[in-house]
Amino acid sequence: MVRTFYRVGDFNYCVDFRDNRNTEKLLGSSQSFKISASEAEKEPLLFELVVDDAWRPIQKGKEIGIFDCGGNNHGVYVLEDGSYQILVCDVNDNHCCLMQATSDFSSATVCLNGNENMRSFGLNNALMMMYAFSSSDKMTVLMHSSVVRKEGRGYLCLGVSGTGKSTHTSNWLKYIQGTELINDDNPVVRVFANGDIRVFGSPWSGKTPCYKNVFAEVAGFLQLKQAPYNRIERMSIVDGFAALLPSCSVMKWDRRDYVGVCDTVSKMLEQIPVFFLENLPNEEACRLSYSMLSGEKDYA
Amino acid sequence: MKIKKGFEVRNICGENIIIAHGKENIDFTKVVTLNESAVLLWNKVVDAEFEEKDLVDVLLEEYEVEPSQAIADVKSLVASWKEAGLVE
Repeated sequence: MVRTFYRVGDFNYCVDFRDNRNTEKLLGSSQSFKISASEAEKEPLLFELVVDDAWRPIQKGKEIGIFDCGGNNHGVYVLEDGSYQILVCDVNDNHCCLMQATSDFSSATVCLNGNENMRSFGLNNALMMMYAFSSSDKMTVLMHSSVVRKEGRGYLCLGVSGTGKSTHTSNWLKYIQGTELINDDNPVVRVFANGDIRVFGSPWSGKTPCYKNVFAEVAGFLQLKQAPYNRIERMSIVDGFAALLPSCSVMKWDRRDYVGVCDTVSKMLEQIPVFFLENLPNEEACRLSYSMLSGEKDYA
Repeated sequence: MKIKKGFEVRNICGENIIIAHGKENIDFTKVVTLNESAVLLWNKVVDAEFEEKDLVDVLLEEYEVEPSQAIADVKSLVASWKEAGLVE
């Protein structure tokens, strides 16, 4: 039994390996987020996840649905006491991980299945869900986005898969001096009590291995759309909400989670501009978006 | 008719936006906003069976408006709620 601790987005959590089969080697992308037990104990844990291949659920919950999570499926079931069971499958529909979590996702147990890659995939997906669904009522969201940092300020590119988020941020790296990639798929965005809104790197970065333990003050959101020209405009609150909400990891059927995410997005919209960028994958597009988002050019 | 289960109005940065939770509403992806008078009507009839007439009565009580105007406004509001799938 090995208890390991991590700090992501200024929240601490524990992954407790109970069997002899699974180790923290499955969490390679989490290594830069690891902290000691004594450090972790300074504040309450966001959640605790037990990994135990010998564990099996006593009963099967009622199906909520099967959800496509970017090529692979998650089956979601709910028990009478509100606990969730989530079956994580890989792109070939192999069962990788079965998780049972309390209704508030403050604690969960998983059993893993298959080879190392499948186990790693399953456990990372379970962790990502635990993080998203336990922090949603703490003014925190995981946002599907590619995010860059320049001079301490963070810029998040949003849009459905295939709209060119990564292409746009990689052009920033190429053409805007002093820019670095923080995360390419699922950073943490958190609204603090003092009004600060920060984006944090996370262990979840999609196909790009970018697992940086860094943060930035959120300067702006950029909703991308491919077009045969470059054009940018600031979005209204309602359009901004419609752009930000689908980018957040959320269980739409779960009121606690959904309302938490909506309220967090609302707080973000109060302070952070959302821009709509129709763009070509070129230098002009990223100069245009940078000048607007950085405030170099006035958008009022 | 009545407002479907799981729909609620939330103040998102000054806008009254309807959000939908619950297993039945997983596929609801529209963003619907309500103006001030629509929120008033919504709050009067949420969780209850109602008819257009009930909404007209609320409008006549709360606003200085001609009955014919109130009826027309309610008709168009209810039609838009139906179209957006908010009532059943």
